[in-house]
Amino acid sequence: MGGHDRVLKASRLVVRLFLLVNFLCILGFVVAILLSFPVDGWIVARLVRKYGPTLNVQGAMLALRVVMVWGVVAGLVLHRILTQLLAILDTVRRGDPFTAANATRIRAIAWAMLGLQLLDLVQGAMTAWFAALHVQFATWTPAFGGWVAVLLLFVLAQVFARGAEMRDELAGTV
Amino acid sequence: MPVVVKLDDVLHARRMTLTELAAAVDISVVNLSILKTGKARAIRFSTLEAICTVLDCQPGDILRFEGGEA
Repeated sequence: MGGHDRVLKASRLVVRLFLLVNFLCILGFVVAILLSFPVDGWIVARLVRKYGPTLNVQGAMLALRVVMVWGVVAGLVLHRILTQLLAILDTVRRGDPFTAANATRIRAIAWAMLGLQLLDLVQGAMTAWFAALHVQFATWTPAFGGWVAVLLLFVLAQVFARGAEMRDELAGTV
Repeated sequence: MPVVVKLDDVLHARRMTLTELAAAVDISVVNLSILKTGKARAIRFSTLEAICTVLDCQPGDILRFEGGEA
């Protein structure tokens, strides 16, 4: 039991840490988007120095800003997942996790994970865009595991909802 | 509710209190009270068996189906 408590405590700490780091990342992306306008000339000069005068500067700047907006959206979706996960962990700590509310939370996480998967596809498109601009960007491969996780979470939410119903029924049994 | 719990009547006939029954069947007074007042949604066979053993009665003495209401 003590071991479980320690794992639970560590899990809550990790999720809180992720929430903080994620919040700082979102803040960073927002600041970067806002700063990209006043220091537009400086960024263009750096890009031209690195990639040469043939670079499609307008396209590259637009692509960079789209990446930053993508980062903000992904961060918000991740925030949703982490807050729901923290709420579930809190119910585990209180000793009553098998509730309809947690089934709803798992379903919300499943939808958010689906959102992240769609954002992953957008990242793939952005990779192709950067390649067309001849600007360095991260490599991308489709995340099949993520799609399986989405399916698993939707099924788990359904199982949890049924389990909570059964528990409620049992609560009235003498 | 068409199924009515007659535990109170049987207890009265046996001159037994709910607390005494609770101690004899090893079920909390709170749970037996829920059963007695008809607030329980279900009853386990083990609970029914224990009550019938202690009160020396049949399940039909405790539970009765009344009326054709849905």
